[in-house]
Amino acid sequence: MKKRYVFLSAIAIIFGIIVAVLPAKDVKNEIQPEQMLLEILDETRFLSVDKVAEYIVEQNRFVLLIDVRTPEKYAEWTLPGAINIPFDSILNPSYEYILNQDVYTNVLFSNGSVYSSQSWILLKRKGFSNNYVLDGGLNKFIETFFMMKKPKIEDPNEVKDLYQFRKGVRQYFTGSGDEGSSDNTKTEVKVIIKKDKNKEDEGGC
Amino acid sequence: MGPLTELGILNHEGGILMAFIIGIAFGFILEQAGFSSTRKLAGVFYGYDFVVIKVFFTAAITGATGLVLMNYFEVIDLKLIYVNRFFPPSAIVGAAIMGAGFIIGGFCPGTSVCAAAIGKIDAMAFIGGILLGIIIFAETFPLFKGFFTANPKGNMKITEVLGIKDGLFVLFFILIALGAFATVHFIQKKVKKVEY
Repeated sequence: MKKRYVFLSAIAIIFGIIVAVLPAKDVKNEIQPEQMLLEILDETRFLSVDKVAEYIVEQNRFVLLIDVRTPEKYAEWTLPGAINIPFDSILNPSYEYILNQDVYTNVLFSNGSVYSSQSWILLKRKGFSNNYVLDGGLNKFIETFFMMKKPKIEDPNEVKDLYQFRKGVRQYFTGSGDEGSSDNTKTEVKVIIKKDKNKEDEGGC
Repeated sequence: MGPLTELGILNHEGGILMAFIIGIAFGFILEQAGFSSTRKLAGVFYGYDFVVIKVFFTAAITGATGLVLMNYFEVIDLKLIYVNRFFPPSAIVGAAIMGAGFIIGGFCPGTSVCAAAIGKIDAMAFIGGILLGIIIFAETFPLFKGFFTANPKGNMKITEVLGIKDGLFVLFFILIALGAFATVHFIQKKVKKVEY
């Protein structure tokens, strides 16, 4: 055997021994604090109510709505097609196949943004991706689509277009083209709970 | 410091540009190593040329040693490196199909692009076959979905399964590679040399 081969093999083995005796590093799968800070500062985790409404109306197969409120609140009403993973069970391994995957865009929501944001942070620390937060939660969703104000005549076209879109969304939810109230009086909104057609597809595994 | 894209040092577009540059360099090295020749690639299966095994094993042990050392000196954080999810049945069937394609066509996907880049018509036909396969697979995916996603094992690493340190596994892997080099050297001596 050529001396060159022996020499190169010896170098490989020496390096192998060096890496084998190096002390092991922390092998937790959690995200590092510096990385976590960058993730928290990045606001792309928030999806606007308009974007989420668009997903719902177009019945996007690759978006999974996840209600992190209690099962009782979920049973009362939720967004169409949403599944329930209560905040206190968010780290339950039986939900990992839903929360840690790269096929579906998960949208976490609660009444406001607090519980959904906390859920997102926990999932991010676990290193799970593809999870987003409904900005403002259900409160903002209702305020945007069911308590909206009519645009003024002098408002730019973008505002009028947005109003038309939101009116369409309201119609989708209520089945009514009614203009609704423009004051701040709270109207009881009956959100239709629609069974997810692709329930058996959830999680992709 | 790294991985650059995961830590936000390099944005998505920067990552794509980096991948492009590395891809060009990778293709250049493949071509220089003679991987655009189907005879050289098929030589592994017939026992007259093992340069493919030698190059890939060398790349693997160099890369593995470098990553463990860089992780130790905190140049890169191995925990942030994406590990593909493991589905054993589809991995086994996929590997068998890949192997069959390799011996029939004389190329693997990377080397076919490399050979097509220097104008080899058989490589272009091979790429056409790959694209056709991708389309058929995508269109018939619902039929295979159950099998494709069966028995998911998550983002599994062999060192986690064996419960050993990354560095120790690299040492074993180096020994396996050296053993493979010696074995193929011996086989190549026994098999009649093929001129091409």
